[in-house]
Amino acid sequence: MNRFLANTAKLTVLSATMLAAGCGGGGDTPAPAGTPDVVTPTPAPVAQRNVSGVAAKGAIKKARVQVFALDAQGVKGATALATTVTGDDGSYSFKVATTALGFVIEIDAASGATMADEATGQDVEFPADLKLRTVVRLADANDTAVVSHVSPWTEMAVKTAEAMTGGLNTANVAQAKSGVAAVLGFDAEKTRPLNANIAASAAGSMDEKVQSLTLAALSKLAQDSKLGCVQAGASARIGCVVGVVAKSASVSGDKLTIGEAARSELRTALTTVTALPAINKTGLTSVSGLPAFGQDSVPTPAPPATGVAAAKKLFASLRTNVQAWTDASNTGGALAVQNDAVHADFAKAAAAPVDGDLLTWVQMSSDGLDYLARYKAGSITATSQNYTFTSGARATCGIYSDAAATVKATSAANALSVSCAAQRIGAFISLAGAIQNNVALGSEIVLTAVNGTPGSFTYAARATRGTVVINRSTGMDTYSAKTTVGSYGAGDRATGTLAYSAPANQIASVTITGMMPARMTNDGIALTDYEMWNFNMVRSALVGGVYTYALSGDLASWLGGAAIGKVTMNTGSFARLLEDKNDSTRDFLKEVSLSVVAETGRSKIAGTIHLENYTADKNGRNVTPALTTYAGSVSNNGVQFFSGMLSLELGNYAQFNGDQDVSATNFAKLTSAVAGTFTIASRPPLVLSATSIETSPTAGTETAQYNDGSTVINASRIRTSAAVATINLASTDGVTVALTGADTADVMKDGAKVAVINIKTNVINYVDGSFESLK
Amino acid sequence: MRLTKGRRWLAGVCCCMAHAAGAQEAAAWHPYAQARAWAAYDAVPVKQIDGDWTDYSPKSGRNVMLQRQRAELGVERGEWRLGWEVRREATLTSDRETLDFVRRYKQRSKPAGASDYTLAAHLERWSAQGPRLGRWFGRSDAGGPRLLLSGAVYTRASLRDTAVNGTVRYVPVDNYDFDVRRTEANSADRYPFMRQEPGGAGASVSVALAWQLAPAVAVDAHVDDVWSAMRWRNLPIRQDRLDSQVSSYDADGYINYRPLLSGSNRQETVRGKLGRSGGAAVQVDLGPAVLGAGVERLAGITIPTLSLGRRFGWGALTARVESRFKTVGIGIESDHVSLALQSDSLHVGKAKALGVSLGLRY
Repeated sequence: MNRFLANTAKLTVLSATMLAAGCGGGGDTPAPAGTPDVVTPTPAPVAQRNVSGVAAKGAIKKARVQVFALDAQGVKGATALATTVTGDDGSYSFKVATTALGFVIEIDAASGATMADEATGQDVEFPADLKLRTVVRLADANDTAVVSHVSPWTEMAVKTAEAMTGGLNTANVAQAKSGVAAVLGFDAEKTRPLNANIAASAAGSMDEKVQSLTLAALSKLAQDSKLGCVQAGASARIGCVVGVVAKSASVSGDKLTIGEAARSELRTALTTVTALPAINKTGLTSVSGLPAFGQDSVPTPAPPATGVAAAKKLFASLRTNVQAWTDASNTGGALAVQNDAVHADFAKAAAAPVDGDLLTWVQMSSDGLDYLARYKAGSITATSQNYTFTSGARATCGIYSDAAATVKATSAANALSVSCAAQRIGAFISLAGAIQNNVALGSEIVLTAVNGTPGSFTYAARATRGTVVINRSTGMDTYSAKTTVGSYGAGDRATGTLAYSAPANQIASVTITGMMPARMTNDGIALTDYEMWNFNMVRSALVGGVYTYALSGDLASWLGGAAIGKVTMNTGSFARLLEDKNDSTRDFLKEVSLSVVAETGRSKIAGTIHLENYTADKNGRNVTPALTTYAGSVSNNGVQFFSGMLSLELGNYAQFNGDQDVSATNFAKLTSAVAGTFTIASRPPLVLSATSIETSPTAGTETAQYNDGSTVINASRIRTSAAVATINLASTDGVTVALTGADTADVMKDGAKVAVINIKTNVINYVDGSFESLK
Repeated sequence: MRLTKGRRWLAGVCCCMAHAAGAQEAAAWHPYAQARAWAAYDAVPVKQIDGDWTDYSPKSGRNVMLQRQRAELGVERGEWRLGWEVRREATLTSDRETLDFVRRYKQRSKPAGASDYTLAAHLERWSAQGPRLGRWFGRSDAGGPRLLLSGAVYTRASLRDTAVNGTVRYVPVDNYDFDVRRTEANSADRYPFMRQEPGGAGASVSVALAWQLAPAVAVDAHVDDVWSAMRWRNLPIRQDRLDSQVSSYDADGYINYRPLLSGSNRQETVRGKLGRSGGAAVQVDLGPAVLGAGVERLAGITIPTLSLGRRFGWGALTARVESRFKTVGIGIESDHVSLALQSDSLHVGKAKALGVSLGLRY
């Protein structure tokens, strides 16, 4: 029987397969005799809702809190529904009837009211003429507890709505809140304010930290008398700054615009306070990639009519953008397609005439010329010198008396040329016992002085490939015979001229013009036939043994008779080294900034790459730039698909031991950020801001905001060591969802659950009975 | 008596028919129990329904998959009988093209070239249980017709009614375009934000006729659910659409993606009737042997049957053949126990029609 019952279920499966697809009442007075009893209905107790929050600029203490009803047309009630006073941490709570679905919370001065000034670390008087507000709109009376904070940012939303036709009506408030959330990157009404200058702020959420810094930025603006706030007292200046900023935003059509003067000052102040340890104790070291005040105009379309419509709008935006931008097979193109194309041009084809060997050529030439100059000056008599370069290559240079570099010089008088040959270990070939074979990649150059023209040389160079036998027992490396890599025409050498000046025996400038050797893969396979350089370097001394190498010129790759790639280094490009006069291997690269235009294949990159804060790890053997930034654009096929900035920042690197395994106590804290505009065919430009902060090898926080012109979505992901990452999504329409790893996730809007996502089935069920798949 | 029992099995589908002669016995309480399960699929063996359909042999045109389970426990006394019955019935109707597509899906096989499928299937399944009270009319010793009128009141009734329609197009090498819609009423369904608990109840009347036309000739007939009324309150109804054509362009020329799956849930109170079924059989007593012929009609399917029985001192042995699903059956019966089996194959795993019934009476 059970089998038959089971078979019934199977029929069901078959059909499914086809889709898989108080107050007291009454009186004390007796009714008069002879009159009928009148029963006075006892009013039902009115259900109360607890509302709590924090009032802050910095934390606002002992200020008056008043709550007034606000109807759908924005008409405010005459008498307060509730009144209270903020606590020492700025917090407040009160009760209102659950039937009150629209009300405004107002914070203003009271006797002894103060606010924290993060810039000075002092509490200052809360200005008598300052009022901070937030408008609360609730979807229904089901949820008894509501959290709603008040800050200058909620006041900005209120002021923006007030300035719109219709004032504080429901639609205006929603639209203004949406725009302010897009400007900030977080929902100020729902994000608990913290004081950035207290240690406890480090324990806040990402949104809380960012908000605390934006609030501190207001104090900084007041401290610096910005935005025309030049009053004598800090309290008055803060009140002035808050007032100016709060009314700096305006809504026109479906866009919210924040005045450029206020926006730029806010962004600058935000960056400033983030870098000030006395003000910033949040642990955030950079605001790169954070959207706060990054754009002067953000979309704030009319709010959807219902919570369900708002939620559907959020998921429709996610669905479309994720599919259009990540799936290369989708119509309309994808970021991946563009990225792959550029990657193929620059990395796989390696047609860009810049790679790791560039520095080898520069260093080898420079050291060789320096060696020749010293030999001719008599300060060095040895006819052979060894060098090790930052690329890992080891070189030997010798002084010769002929241009062919076949006869060793015997004196300074007959020294004519210097020949240098560098080799480094390339790709692995084989291993037998202790004997390991690798490819040996070589660079050779002979520099010959031009008679009668001091500082001018001709050169003949080539790239080579050989093998190196590494005896892992003895540590001895044995290099075999080399063959030429590249195609240089007659003479089998790339030739050109090199000129330098070296007053006081110090290289001051180098110019290289002519053919340079081919570049090759790590396997020693030629990528190009040769390179053509028109390269200039000017070296100048800074203090403390630091030298700046100003770089400019063009480097082009040639293959099959055609230029296949070109890098132009614009004026302003430079590298800074801390040089050791006695040992070039101890030279320390401090900073590199390259303003370049690189073109290869159908791709083009134009921008500035900046590497700075070169830091050695704990054992001193690994040196890396602690901060790398790129600002510019990337194009493919003549179409720009990215414009903006990228940054990578390594924290704690000096305490990181690169020779030991990464662990909870031995790691470098990586912060990466991207902010810019991405463009693909058939989609509106996507303005993206994203930041990733690693707090341990297994934990970190990522925040992002995207703006596709009609929808702005803020997202964050919190990774912890043990638990599944938590992802928070929020549209600026006020829809929020937290993905915690559970099988389902609630979608909330205005305090009410409007949908639930089944993570296993990828289906969203809405409160109105409709459903749809995530994808 | 034996003849009556043999006749009962031969007519066999309706338990209401089970005791045409029960009223002849003394006015004592007689407990009885009956259980019957039957399944017949046109396209695949019963046991392979959720497998990969290796032994797939559909009919051209309309294919059905039928399941019926029924169990009853009760007492009889004189003309009266009172029992508790549990019923569960399912019918899946589809066409060859739909089944071909399902088989390809199950076997993960691709058509040789571009192919279009038009899908259409309808599953109707319901179950209910409750007390049934019946009474025989007419005298059993008068040789005239006797009529059993019985009525059941059902509680805990469930319903699943699913209709699937759509198109699937296979485009080599690995692309499927599809647009499939489903409407499903399912009392067991639960979905987020569902407001009220579903429930179901109803009533049914069945009739059975037993007529000894001549000493050696008897006729049985029955109609189940000749009148019925079912009510499923707050029945969850789901309508959804699976559409691969998800991309569209807006007025600005920007591409947008719709969800692959979309639909809605709602709750309605639905009234309906149970599908009638019935049958008739004639049996001729040839001394030790009994020859029978009959026909059953259910879910639009007609099932002709022939049977031959042989009496023994301990009871009766009956063989039966049925031409619709081409099954052969055997039944054994004594005074208190009856057991019957039928199948279209000796290999149970490959049988497309299987039936078993068991009866006990004291």
